[in-house]
Amino acid sequence: MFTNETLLALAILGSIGLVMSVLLSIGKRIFAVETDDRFDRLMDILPGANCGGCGFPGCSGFAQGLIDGTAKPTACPPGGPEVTVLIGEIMGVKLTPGEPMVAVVGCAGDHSAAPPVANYQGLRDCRAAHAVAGGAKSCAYGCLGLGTCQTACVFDAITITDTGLAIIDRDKCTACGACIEICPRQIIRLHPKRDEVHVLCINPDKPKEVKAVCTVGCTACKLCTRQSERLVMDERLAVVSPEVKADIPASCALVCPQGTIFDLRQYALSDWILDPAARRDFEQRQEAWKAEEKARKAAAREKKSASKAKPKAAPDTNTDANAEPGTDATPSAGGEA
Amino acid sequence: MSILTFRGGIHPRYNKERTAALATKPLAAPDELVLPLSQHIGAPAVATVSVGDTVLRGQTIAQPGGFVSAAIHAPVSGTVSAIEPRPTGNGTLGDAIVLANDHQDTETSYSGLGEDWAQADAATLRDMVARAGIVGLGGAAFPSHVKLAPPPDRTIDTVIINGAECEPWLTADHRLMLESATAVVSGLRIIQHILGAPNGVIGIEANKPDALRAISQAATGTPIRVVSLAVKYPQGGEKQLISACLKRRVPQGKLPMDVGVVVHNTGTAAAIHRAVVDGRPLLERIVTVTGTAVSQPANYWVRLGTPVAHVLQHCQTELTPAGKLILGGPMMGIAQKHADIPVVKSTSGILVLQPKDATTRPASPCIRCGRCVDACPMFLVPQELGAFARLRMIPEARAAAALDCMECGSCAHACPAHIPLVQLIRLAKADIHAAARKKM
Repeated sequence: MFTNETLLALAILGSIGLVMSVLLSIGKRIFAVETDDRFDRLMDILPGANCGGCGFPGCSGFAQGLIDGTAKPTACPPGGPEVTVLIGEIMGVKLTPGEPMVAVVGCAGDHSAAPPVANYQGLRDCRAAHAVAGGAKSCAYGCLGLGTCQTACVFDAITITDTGLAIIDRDKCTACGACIEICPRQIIRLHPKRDEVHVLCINPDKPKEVKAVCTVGCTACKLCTRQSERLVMDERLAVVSPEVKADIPASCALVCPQGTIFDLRQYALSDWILDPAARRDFEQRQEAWKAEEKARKAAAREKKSASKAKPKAAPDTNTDANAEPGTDATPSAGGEA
Repeated sequence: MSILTFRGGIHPRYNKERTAALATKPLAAPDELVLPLSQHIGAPAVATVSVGDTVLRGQTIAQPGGFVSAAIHAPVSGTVSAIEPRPTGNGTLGDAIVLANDHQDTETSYSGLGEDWAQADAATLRDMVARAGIVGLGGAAFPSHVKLAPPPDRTIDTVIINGAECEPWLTADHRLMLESATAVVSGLRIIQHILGAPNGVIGIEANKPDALRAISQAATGTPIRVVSLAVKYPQGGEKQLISACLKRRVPQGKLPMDVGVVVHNTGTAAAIHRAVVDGRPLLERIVTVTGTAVSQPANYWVRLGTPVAHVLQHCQTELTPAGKLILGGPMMGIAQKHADIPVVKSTSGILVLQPKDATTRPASPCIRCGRCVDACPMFLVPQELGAFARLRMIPEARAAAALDCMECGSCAHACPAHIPLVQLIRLAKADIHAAARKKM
């Protein structure tokens, strides 16, 4: 079968292959391109979403940035704390991951709460609508609901309700910040993921003006700030303070006469926005809480008058005096609601 | 007289016959006037009065906040009742001086140069224009004295006065040219004197033969050339006007002064005449109130700061939510959501349309017919720019000269698929500017 010619051909080709492979392997050594093995290791651990949340063009840009020292090692929001720790291991530094954050749309004023005052027919883009005399919505600060943030979100975390409001899915959101950057009204902001209560309004106008444009806007009544030190006033707007670390009591949401404060321990955000039953349930719970509070205050007053009869019980009087501002607050809350 | 024109453009329905023959009437001043500090391009003006002050008509109430800025004067006598944020035409709140009108119209004294203005030097005249708070009254509201102060290395040989008034519906400039022809011509002579420009041209669209006659008559005995322009939108665009009148092309990203030309609007020319000859500041302007929902259309001399609602009341116009209220013309004006905004220096018209005229058809996909390309007077490819905007391809949009777009709306008007091309291109422009800011 095997003729001499076949064997010769095999031998020639085989030896050419052998020589070439030796040359190639030598050449590889000589002309080797210096790569940082950390780059590949970083690429393995980065999420690969190319969201741009780090400020670099995609994950490879970020990995290169880390190696060049131009990127902040904690800058990958979708990766979360695990990736941050791994980056630290690869780069040989000890990193403490930042607080996990989540983007929240600071508006609950959909078409029913803050109805449009004009018929906008132009481009379905919030930025374009905002440029036409500030958009058609009654509230100049509220969500226009045309879905520009939705198109910017590569994690598919944003939905636009039929009633014209953007809702962000907490579980899908990676806090990359793409929506925050594109929203023409700066409604979307990052909040610590552990915060369970959000003030869903950013309208800083006077209470009368807020009430004129929206039924669920913050009217700066300050009632919530008396329930917890976590809620503070930023001029005419209640905000959850990021500095103070304390749990937020459910009463913060219940005391709000406008129902502006959303408590995710009680309702899912989509229900809170869309389901009238959630609002009805909230009102019932609010009534019950108010009655409870009234009874508690009445009891405290009784105790106080009783302790006044015995003037020597000084410490008791002090605790009662602390409770006093709250006593004033409850009836006024009833009056405004 | 041959008819001059430019390349591109569209022929929208002009609808000017409703108000073209109506003489301009003064509109009674309202009880309260709202004068935004930012009625012009550039830095906002700085208020020089405080709440409670009594002001005379014509008194300066705000000084320019920089070189590119303009002064503001009290259009009525009365008291300053507030200086606070008020709604403006762009949908936001802006600081404004609120005047309570005492209906006396007690005037401050004016000192003009009379007909001897030619004795004065350019700097004096330019200063008078600046002090009068004059801005481009065609709609751009660019402070006029800045355009009268070209850098020393530029020689201006020609001044063009824009009497095209190519925006449909509007007749404010038309009426001004008929009623104040001598002021327009004299304004042009003053501008030429300031800039040392030997040539003066007044361009008027051929659909205003009476204005052409009136201006030609007023210009007899002067070297000013009055030209008749084709009836085409946007004939009054600065670069289109230069192309039509002088056959000069302003290069990409350059200004008219780079080809030795300065363009001013007729209203601006007349205001400059009044500022120099009579010493009177800019207190009022002609506003065309028209549209299918206006039962009594009119041309009014309106004091700056008059609420739009007050003007509409005089024209017996009811606003319906489904209709449309536009400040300016239908092509480049801005739709409003309420009439609680004041007439400002750039308000050339108030257009109110009935719901049936205000609805646009929904956009359908681009069929690549190329009509937008034919229509674009800036030789751009609007459908491509629109696609770049939609896909947020910022460097590509920049390379396709998105920043050259002047947002005239010809492409969107020509588009058979009703694609809102101008809105898309505006997004692209905003993205380009944002990207440039980020890089800095």
